[in-house]
Amino acid sequence: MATLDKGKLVDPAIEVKLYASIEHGSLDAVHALVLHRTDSSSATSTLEAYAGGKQTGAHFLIDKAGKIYQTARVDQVCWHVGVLLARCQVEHGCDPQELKTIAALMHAKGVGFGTRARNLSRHELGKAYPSRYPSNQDSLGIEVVGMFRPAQKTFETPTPEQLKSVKHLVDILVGQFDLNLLSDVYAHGAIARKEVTEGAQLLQALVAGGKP
Amino acid sequence: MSRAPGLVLLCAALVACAPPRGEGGIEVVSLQRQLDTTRGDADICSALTLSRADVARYFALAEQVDPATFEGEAMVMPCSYRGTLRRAGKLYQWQIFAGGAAYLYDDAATNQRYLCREACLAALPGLR
Repeated sequence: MATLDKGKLVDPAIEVKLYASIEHGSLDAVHALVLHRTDSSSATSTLEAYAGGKQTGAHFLIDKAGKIYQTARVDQVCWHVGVLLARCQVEHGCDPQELKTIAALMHAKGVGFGTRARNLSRHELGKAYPSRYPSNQDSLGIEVVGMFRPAQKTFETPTPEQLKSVKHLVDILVGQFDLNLLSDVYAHGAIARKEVTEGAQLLQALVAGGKP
Repeated sequence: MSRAPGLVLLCAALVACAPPRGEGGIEVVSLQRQLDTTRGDADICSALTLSRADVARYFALAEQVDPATFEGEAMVMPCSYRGTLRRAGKLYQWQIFAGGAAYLYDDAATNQRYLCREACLAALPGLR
């Protein structure tokens, strides 16, 4: 059974390999897990980027053989989510006033697309989870190695070893932080301004019980 | 000597027949607007317009980045343009998103990521 020691997971299947550059201060609560894809063909480039001082990154990285690296402590914020979508808009649950606010932010005159999206994300951060999607301030990120194929708009199919490791890790974290597997684990592409398919195969396999 | 005017005319004709090249020797072969209607705010997309010249300018000015940087910084907006371009004689597919992220790829080894930073966005204000 995995245990926590000063933010580090102690488990035979997890190698702790921390990178100070991706840790950005105290993470006070863990409300959710976010599943990412690296858009790389191996773990090496991601680990080298962290070692080179890259500031964005996630708490865990799973390579193609299913090896799990813990790259940041779970009591530290990582910048892994990016610009949030408006949850009530995506899930068709906004009240009329909130819809107007969102529309005003996204159609603001004289403001670029990126700024409008960031302003909406900032607005979302003013809400409490789960009224909004999880943010850097209340979630852990899991990166899974795999290339994005722009022509197909999909990521490489995760290996069976990766899916097994994702399940192992998610089970540990869900237990450790008292999360709900069905409602507190998200695919990155479903919550942020990223490719829609990012993390979807992983989440689908998790929900289906770990089958590829 | 007498062949020189003919040569000049032939050269001029060849230049006239050559496909127009944009910045960086890029010829934009096709472009088409894309809309991701699965995103709730795709209605902002009418504000995005890109011409062939804009696409050539984009790939002359945007910065090619590694996938880790792209994953960290790129915003994938519901509005984009995609198409094909020819560079150094090779045909590529491309997609440029509102806000400045882009892909350039082919069916073989090329699978590149780009970000349009300040100087690039200043030259392409419609993309900002």
